[in-house]
Amino acid sequence: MRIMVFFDLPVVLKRDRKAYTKFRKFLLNDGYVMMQYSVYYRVCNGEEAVQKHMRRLRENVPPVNGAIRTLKITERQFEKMDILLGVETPVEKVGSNITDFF
Amino acid sequence: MAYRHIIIRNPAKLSVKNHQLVIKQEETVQIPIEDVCTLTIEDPAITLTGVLLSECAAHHVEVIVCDQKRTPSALLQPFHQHSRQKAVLDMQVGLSKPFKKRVWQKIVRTKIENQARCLDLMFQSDKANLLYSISRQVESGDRSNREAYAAKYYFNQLFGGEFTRRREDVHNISLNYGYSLIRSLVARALVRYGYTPSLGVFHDSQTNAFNLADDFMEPLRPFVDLTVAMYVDKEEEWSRDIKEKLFNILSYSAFWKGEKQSITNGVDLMMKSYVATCRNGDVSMLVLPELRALEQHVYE
Repeated sequence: MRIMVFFDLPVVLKRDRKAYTKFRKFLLNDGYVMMQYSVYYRVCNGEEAVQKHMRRLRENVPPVNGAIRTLKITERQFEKMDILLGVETPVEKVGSNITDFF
Repeated sequence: MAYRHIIIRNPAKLSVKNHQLVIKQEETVQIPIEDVCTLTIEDPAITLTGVLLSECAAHHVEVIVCDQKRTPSALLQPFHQHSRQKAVLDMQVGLSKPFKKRVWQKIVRTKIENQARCLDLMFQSDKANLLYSISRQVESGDRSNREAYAAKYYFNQLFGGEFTRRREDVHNISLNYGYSLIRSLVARALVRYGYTPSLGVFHDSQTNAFNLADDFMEPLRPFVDLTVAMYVDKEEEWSRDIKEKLFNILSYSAFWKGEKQSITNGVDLMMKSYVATCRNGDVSMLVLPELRALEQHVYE
């Protein structure tokens, strides 16, 4: 299962840029991967993990005028994504397997 | 809860960035350390950073290092990561002998039952019945050593009359490899719950730092036995494929007090139940695995 996060955050004022950087840094530290600019996802193992990471997201919403949306989708739905332009990154291919060989 | 087992079997450079494990090979992949349960370093040509090791310790990731033959040879264990380390140690030291004997009785009984189920699954139901009856004879502390008696009979049924555990054949290498994976999984869970793994319930070797892990891995051994019996041929060479099969055991399902759980999760449950068992002095609270079939555990 993956949580996807889409956001639009203002970057005009210095204070806004700071809040934006802090939010992005939080996403990276919490295991999110940047799929495109302002589109991030994280692999989660089951509903419990989704709830844990959603709670962390809520706690880290920046205090600015912007928009952040999330979407929970299954691995199968994620696999069905059509890529019209660009390539799939190697990180995307790593699913939520229990054992992974590298 | 951590659920991933990462095995590095090709040359790679491992490091940490933003609390993520970064695996740099031809392609670079990153995985949240938070989600990792064990990290196995199999290839000799792997370099890793000190930060990675300390991050692994902080997140209770068990790092398993392999020798030149690619069999596990060392474990990296976090040092004092539990908040009540001293309290748990006091409890462990204070456990009474009769209590430990009853725990061991239950472990041995479950182990022999699992061995019987293993024979059942290998289409030897008639032989399994004898093991079931042996399991009922296990006394407190296994005074009459039913464990060894059952093991001899069981291994001979599983791998033929001339089989001994001492020989260096492909069966034994596979068994040892599988056991060491499970042992490290149990050791990890123990440390997470603050136990000192050298203080065992039954195993009491002065030279063994993992006595308690050896106690609690007993009921899980038949999972390895069954995998080896099913997938490893006597004539076969010790290979990558076999190792992959053995690694998959960690994601098989087992029944823990009627509840279906992957082995990785279940081992954690088992140690959690042992905490309750020790606190209340009630052995019936202990949750041990039941082997019913070999199947991959799937998450929704």
